[in-house]
Amino acid sequence: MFTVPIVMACLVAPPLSGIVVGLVSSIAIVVLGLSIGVQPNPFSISVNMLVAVLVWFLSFTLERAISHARRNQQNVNFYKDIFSHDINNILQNVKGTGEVIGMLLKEGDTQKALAMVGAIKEQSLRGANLVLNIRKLSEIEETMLVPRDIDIIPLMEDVVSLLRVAFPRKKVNITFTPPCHECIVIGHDLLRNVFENIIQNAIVHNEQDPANIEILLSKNDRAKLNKEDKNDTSLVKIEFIDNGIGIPAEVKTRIFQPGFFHDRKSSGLGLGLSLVKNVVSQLGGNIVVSDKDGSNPELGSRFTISLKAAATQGVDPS
Amino acid sequence: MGKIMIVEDDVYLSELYRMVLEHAGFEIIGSASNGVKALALLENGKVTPDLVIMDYRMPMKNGLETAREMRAKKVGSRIILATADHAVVEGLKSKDVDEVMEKPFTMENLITTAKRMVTPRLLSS
Repeated sequence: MFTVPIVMACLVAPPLSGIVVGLVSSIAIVVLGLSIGVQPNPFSISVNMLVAVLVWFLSFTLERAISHARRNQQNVNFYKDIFSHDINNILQNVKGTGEVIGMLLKEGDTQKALAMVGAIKEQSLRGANLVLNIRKLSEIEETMLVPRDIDIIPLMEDVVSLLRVAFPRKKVNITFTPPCHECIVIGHDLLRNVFENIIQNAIVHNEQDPANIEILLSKNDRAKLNKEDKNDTSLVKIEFIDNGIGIPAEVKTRIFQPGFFHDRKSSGLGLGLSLVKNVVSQLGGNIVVSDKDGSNPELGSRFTISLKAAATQGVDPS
Repeated sequence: MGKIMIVEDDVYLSELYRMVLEHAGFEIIGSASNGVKALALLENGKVTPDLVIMDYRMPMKNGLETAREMRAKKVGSRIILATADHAVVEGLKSKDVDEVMEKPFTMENLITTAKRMVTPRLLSS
C-alpha cells in the first residue's frame, strides 16, 4: 500500500531527500488511514520501510554511477576536442611542409628543401608532446603522485639546454642564472613537464626575434602561499618572464582551467597549462600569471610558480 | 596575382601559408595572430587584401566572428575560413564566408582555391 509513494518519491527526488519524502508520505498515509478507521499492519509498515531504504540505496548508487559516467563523458569530449583540433593542425603542418619539400626538390633547390625538414621534426616534437601531456593529465586524474625532494637547478638546466635546440627555425634566447648551487623543493617527476610546458609556450607564442625567456629563482623564508594559509611557509619562487604575444586580462582568469581549451575562442594553450596547474597544486604550490611589465599584456608574460622548500636545504638562493 | 592577408594563431602554419602562396605568385600584404589584430589592420583600409585566409579557432576573437565584423565594417575582401574541427564545418558556411576549408588540406588545394577567389575580383577591377 505504501511502497508506491515511497519508491516514487525516492526515484523522483534526490536520494537523501527522497527517503525523507518517502518516509513522511508513508507516515501521512498511516495517519490518514487511522483517521478513516483503517488499522495499519505493522508487518506491512516494516516491509515498506525496508523497501524505502533499499530504493534509497539503489538510487544513491545509480546517481553516483551516472555522475561518474557524466565525468567520463566530459573527459572523452575534452580529449576528442584536443585530438580533432591540435592533431589536425599538426597534420596540416606536416602535410603542407611535405608538399613544399617535394616542390623544392622538383625545382632542384635541395638546400632549401633540407632546411624544411627541420619543420617536420618540430611538428613531430609538438605531436609527441601533445600525446605525452594527455597521458600525464590522465595519470594525474587517476592517481596521486608521491612528492619527494628535488633539486630544481640541475632539472631546470637540463630542460633549458634541451629547449634551446628544439626549435631550429626560431632564434631562442633562454637565460637561467641561479643564485646558488642547490635549491631543493618538494616536487615529483612531473615538475619537469611543468617547466617544459611554460618555456615551450613562451617560445611558440612569441613573434619576437629572438624569443627571450628569463628564468629567475628566489626564496622567501616567511611567506604565505595564499590568504587561507595560517602559517608562514618557506617558499621557492620561480619566475618565467618572456617577450611573447602576451595574455589578455580576460584570458588570464581562465587560462589554467581544464575546460578553457574547450572554449571555441581559445587556441592550443589550455592543455599544457591545465597540466601545469594540476601538478603545482598537487605539490601544495601555487601558480599565477601576470604581464611582463605589470600593465601591458602585449609586451609579454610572467608566470610565477611558488613551491614549498624542502626541509633539508643546501645553499639557499638569496 | 592578388593580395592576401593571413590570420592564423599557429605560427608554423602562418609561415607555411606565406611561403606557399608567395611561391605561387601572390603578394602577402599582412598577417595577424587573432581576429582582433586582423580587424585593427583592416580598419580604415590600412591593408586592403583581395583575400583573407583565416583560421576559425583563435584566441580573443574567432574566425567567424571576425568575418561577421569585417562584413559589418564593409570590408570587401573575400574570406576563406580554415578549421581543424570537423564538427563545425557545416556551421561555418554562411553568407559572411566565401569558402570553408577543413584541415588538413593540401597546399595545392589552397592555391587553387585562392586563385579561384581572387581571379573574379581582379577581372572586375
